[in-house]
Formats: sequence, C-alpha cells, structure tokens
Amino acid sequence: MFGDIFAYIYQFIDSFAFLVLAALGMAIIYGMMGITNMAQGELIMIGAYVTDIMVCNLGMPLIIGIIIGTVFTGFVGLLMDRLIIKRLYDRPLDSVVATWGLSIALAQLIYIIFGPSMTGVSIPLGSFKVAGRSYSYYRLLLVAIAIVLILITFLVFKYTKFGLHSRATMQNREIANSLGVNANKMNAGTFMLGSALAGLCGGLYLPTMSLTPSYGESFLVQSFVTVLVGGADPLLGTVLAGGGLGIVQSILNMKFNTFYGKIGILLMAILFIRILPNGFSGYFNGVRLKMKLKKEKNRGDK
Amino acid sequence: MKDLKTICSENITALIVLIFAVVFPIFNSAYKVDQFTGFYVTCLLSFSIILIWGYTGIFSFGQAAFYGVGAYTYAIISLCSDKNLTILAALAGIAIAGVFALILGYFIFYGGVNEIFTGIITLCISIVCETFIVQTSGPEWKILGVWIGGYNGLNNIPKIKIGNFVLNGVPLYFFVIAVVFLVYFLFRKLTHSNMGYALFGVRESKQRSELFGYKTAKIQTLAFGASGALAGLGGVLFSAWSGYVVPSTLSVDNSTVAVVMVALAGRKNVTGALIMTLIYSYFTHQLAASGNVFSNVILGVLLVLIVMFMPEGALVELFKKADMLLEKLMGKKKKTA
Repeated sequence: MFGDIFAYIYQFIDSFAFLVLAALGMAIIYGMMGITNMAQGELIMIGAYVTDIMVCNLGMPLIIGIIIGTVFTGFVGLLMDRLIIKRLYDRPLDSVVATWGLSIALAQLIYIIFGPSMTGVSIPLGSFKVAGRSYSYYRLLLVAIAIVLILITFLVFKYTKFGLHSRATMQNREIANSLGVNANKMNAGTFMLGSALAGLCGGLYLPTMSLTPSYGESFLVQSFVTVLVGGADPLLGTVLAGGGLGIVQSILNMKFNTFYGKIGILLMAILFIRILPNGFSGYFNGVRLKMKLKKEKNRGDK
Repeated sequence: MKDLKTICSENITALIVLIFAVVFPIFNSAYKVDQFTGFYVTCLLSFSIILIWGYTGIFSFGQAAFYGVGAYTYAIISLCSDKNLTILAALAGIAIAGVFALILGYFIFYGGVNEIFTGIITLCISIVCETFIVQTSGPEWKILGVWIGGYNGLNNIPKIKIGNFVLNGVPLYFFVIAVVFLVYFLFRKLTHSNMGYALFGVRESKQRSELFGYKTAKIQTLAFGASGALAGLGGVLFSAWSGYVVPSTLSVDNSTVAVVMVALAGRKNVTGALIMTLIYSYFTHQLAASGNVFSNVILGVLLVLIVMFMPEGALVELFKKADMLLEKLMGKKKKTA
C-alpha cells in the first residue's frame, strides 16, 4: 500500500519537474514578450548536444557540461533574437512561422552534423528502493532543481532591477521606453534567459533519454501544453499548470504508457482553454483583481 | 485579388496554367501524367492553408493531420469490404476530416484563445496523431476489420470507382484537375463575396469585426472546418492516387512544404500558391531533392527569410510588377490609337 502511494507521488513529482523544466523558458519568453518560440525544442536539443559533447568527447564532469550547455544555448538565443525575432516584435503571428522555419532548419542541421544518434550519458547518483521498487536519486534531484529554479526566477523577477524593468516592459512597452527602460535590450535579455533555461532542461534530462535529432520533440508537446494551460504569467502559470497536468500525466503514465500521458494532457489542455481561455494565471489574476476592487469598495463605503 | 474578368498578369497566368493542365496528357507519357496528378493533389493542401492562414489569419499546423485523416479514412473504408464503397469512402474521408476540424475549432475559437496558440495546439495535435498511428503496428489495432499497420501504413488501396468505371491514369488526372480548378475558381469568387470579406475582416481585426456584429468565433470555426474538409479532400485523392498511406502522410513535415510554398508565393494569393506548388513539386521530383539532407534546412531558412523580408510573398510582388508593366503598355497603345 505504502509502496503504491510512494510510486504515485514519485511519478507525480517527476512529471511536475519535467513539465516545469520543459516549459519555464518558453513561458518566460511568451509571458514577457508575447512571442511563441516554436524553436524551443531545438534549443533544448542544442543544450543537450553541447552537454553531451562536453561530457563524452572532452571528458568533463556532467555538471560542468550542463553549465556550458546552458550558457551556449543562451548565446544561441541571443543571436536568434538579434537576427530574427527583433524584427518581428510587433508581428506575433509571423514570429510563430519564422521560429518554426528556424526549428526545421536547426533540427536538420544537427542531424547533418552529428548523425542519427550520439553516445549517451549514464544516469548518475544511483538508486534507492522503496517497497521492492527502485527509484532514481537523479530524478529526485531534478525535482529539487525545478523547485529551486522557480524560486530563483521568482526572486529575479520580483527583486532585481532586471526583473522590475522587464515587468514594466511587459505591462506597457511605450511607457517603459519613455521612462528610460531600454525595451529592446530587455527583450534580448529575456529571450536569452528563456533560451538558457531551455538549454539547461536539455542538459539535465540528457542522462535519462537517448540523444537523437528528435530529442527536442519529446519535450515539445509537454512544454507547449504547459504554457497553454498556464497562461501569460510565467511563474504562477507554470507552477499551477505543471501541478495540474502533472497529476493527469502521472496517473496516465502509471496506468498505461507515456504516449497516453501525452495525449491525456493535450486533451485536458484543449478542454481547459474552452473554460479558461487565459489559462490558470489569467483566472487567478482576475480573481485577485476582483478581490482588490471589493476591498477598495468596502473602504469607500466606510 | 483582382476580379476574374479584368486582364491582369494573375489572370493571364491562371489561364495559361489551365490550358497547360488540359493539353498536358496529349503530349506526355502516361508516367508523367500520373506524376503530375500527384502534384495537383498537393495543391489542395496548399489551398487549405491559404483558406485558413491567408484569408482568415489563423496559422495552423494541423492541415497535414486533416489531410492524413482524409487519406486514412478513405483507405480504411475502401479496403474494409468488397471494394465497391469507394465513393462513400471518399465522402466519409472529407466529412470526417471536416468534423474533426470543426470540433477542434469549436474548442479553440469559442474559448477565445489567443490566435498564436492555435499554431501550438494544431502542432501538438499533428504530432500526437502521427505518434498514435505509428504505434498501431500491433494486431489489436483494427478499424472495421482493416489492420492499420503502424509504421508500414496501408497498401493496395483501391482507386475511386464510379459504377463500373475505375478512375485511373488519364481520367483520374482530369478528375483531379477538375477538382483543383473548381476549388481555385471558388476561392477566386470567394475573395469578392460577402463571405470572403467577413473572413478578411476577421483576419485584419477580430475586435473590429466583433464590434460590427460579426460572430467571429463562428466564422473562424467554420473557416477552420472548411479548410479541414478541403485538406481531407486532398488526402482522399492522395490515397486514391498513390494506393498507399503511411504515418508520415499526416506528419508535420508534410505541412512544411505546403506552408513554405504558400508563404513564398503569397499567402493571400491562390494563383501564386497553385503555380508555386506545381513548380516546387516538379523540381524536387526532377532533382530528387525531397530526399536530400539539405532540403529541410533550405526550406526552413527560406521560410524565415520570407517572413522577415517579404511577408506578402515573392510571386505576388512579381504579379504587381508585371501588372505595372502591362498597364504601361496598354496606356501607350491607347495613346497611339
């Protein structure tokens, strides 16, 4: 009995971490810039390839490989923003098409350069047993990393100057610009951050999956669906969507297989947006606003 | 988007293409005719992207999924019994693809989701559909007694039969070009009808259309459903023409080519898309470039460049230039007369 419960909890936090890590970068880019980056999967893949090369070909420890992969992907994102996305800030629909074109080209380029598969990295840290089933420590570490990342992102956006300026840009670009915030620079920084988070996700999941040119695709559906359900607020949305979809996905994964998990969260998302088109965060922000108005009204009555 | 009756470069090219299509079988071998039938079938996929992306302003990756649904439905129903149900199978393919698109559209557009997300949802649907079909290789996956066959797909799909007459070779070619040009002329008519203007209104500004009293969600859903049915028609003709369907028929890659062609030609111009799809299909076939490792890189980069620098499309620009030239010549003629 305890074993079963533990298995479900483990599967749930694992799904949660996967959804959050896969979606956080994209959620930040969408929430802050209003741009949907279809090439997010390829950025995840670039992070994984760089990490793999660092670890397998140059013999570095995994953690250093992941850090280098993250930084490298960040710079790829910066390059993408300066060369392409910058021109499409006011054409969000076209940016979908352009980033999609980019994703096709990148996936194929990686196939041409590195071939159909790479030597993998074995999963570190070993495993432990609960009630006869074995679980991996590394996956627990990934959960911890996901939670820490959420906290760091929260602190960065809440308390640093960068966070303040980027929130200002998100709220009203023109006014932020006129008050001396360089909105162009903010966007570049945001896109770089989002890309770096994608690279980090790629590096972190490298030991758990085989690395092929379709590596990015295995994250695509989950990350898109999480952003879709989460809505415009990158933090609140991702956490709530990751939690909600994590429950659905983990149950379906346990009962059937990962393919049904994928279908399940996609169908959930399609039903969900019919009811709450602005996602979890849109709904919660609406509730918060209503409560605020009520409070002010009460104060006015007194 | 000129009227059908005015003399302009777009109409002249369309007329040339029509004449070319009609006289083509006289001068060419049966093999070439068969090959071109396939090219015209691809045009229907491009048309469905024009309808949803160019006219209604919704970017959808799902067209290949609807195309695949049409193709699989035709294959399964025509294979399931004594092979005399081909017309029913064709109609069912179109209907099921259309209904699938309508249901999906209902959830997307009536919720009032941001347009950008339509791309994401349709992409996910496309990926999931393909993964689903790929994993149906087990013997338990049977619909109407027809084994779906997973990665290997379905083979020996019968041709469309009308009575005792089997549509094959040249008759099939003429049937396909008749369908393609019928859709083409309907599209040309649509751009000058109230229905077309309603679509353009939604494309230019959803809010404005709503304030004018249009039910934008309904318009978008119907347009999405129609484009799904059209893609389904393409899929039906594809499986009737080629005799096989594989999971990659409904993969995202299948939309790639059509989207790039439509973007390259001009997403609002159906003549451009027709010509561009034909030219591209012909050249990739000639150069065997579709199997080339660099073809996806080229397509991707091309798409980025078009969106960045020529959002109206290259062929549309060409038509404009040619029209200006034509007007100059006509003007001179008038003066001399």
